[in-house]
Amino acid sequence: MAGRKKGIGQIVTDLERQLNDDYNALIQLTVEGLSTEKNSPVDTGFFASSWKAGTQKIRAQDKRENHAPWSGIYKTRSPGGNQWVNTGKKPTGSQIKPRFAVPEFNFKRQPTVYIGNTAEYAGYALESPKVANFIQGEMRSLVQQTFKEKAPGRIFTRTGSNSSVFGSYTRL
Amino acid sequence: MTLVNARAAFEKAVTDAVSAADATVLMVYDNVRYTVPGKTKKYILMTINFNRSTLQNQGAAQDYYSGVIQCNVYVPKSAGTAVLSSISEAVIDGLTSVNASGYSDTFNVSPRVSDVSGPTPLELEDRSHFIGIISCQFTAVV
Repeated sequence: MAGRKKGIGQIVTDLERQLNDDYNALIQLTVEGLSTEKNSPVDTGFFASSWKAGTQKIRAQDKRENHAPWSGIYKTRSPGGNQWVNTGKKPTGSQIKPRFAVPEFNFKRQPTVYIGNTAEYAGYALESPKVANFIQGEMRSLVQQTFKEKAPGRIFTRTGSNSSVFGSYTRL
Repeated sequence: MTLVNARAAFEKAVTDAVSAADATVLMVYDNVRYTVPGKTKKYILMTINFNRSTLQNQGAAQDYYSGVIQCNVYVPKSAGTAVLSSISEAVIDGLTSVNASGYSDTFNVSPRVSDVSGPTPLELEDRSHFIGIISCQFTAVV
């Protein structure tokens, strides 16, 4: 079977497209990876849900109390059932629902992309080693996997019942 | 017991360097119960996370550990950054001491660290201490 012919002049375009695809895949996988219980400390799930990628530095200014479903996670109905009261207890129903879609970037027009967390209390989460463990550990293999020549199509498998979109995937 | 030795190699390297620089700094390691020291105390929380334990070359798998070390340095708040800087420097010296050619590998695990980042300063509103975060990658092989 004869292969499709391409002029040598196409090589730059092809290479740039490949780089751009890899650039976006890495950003997407990084945000997805951070948005998991494995790589972010989880109490209510608001922090893990608040990772964002953008061309401007990400500001940590979102209050959990202003965003459903996390806003009421510490509250329960009063015995009379007529008002919400704060339980003061650690919530059992933490939820990780990424709040920001990752936009498409162009590595030539947007060579710098910031990935950060918008939760107001993001600084507290840095005390946990989970984030550093991902950035200094898994990120390296993620970069190596993403920025290399590969056959068309990638297959990832997942084991276990983890509800995360990335955390337990293994690339085949 | 190489997993134990790998952990011990890094913990000892950092602990020795910190106690040589400032003997009043308390070290807290993984899975050790502790009460948050008072406002005037200086302490370090050291965490070692193993991401990989074997390397499959030809034949049998080889013990090859890699992962991430994080040291959270806690110093009294509102007292400037000099103390944080000097303790952080000791932590970094301790971490990188395992890379030195003259390092005495008493645990036989050939420890190495790379890509040390920090200290990233954190001033958290309701914390009694000012915090510096230092992290790096490590490997250890038998």
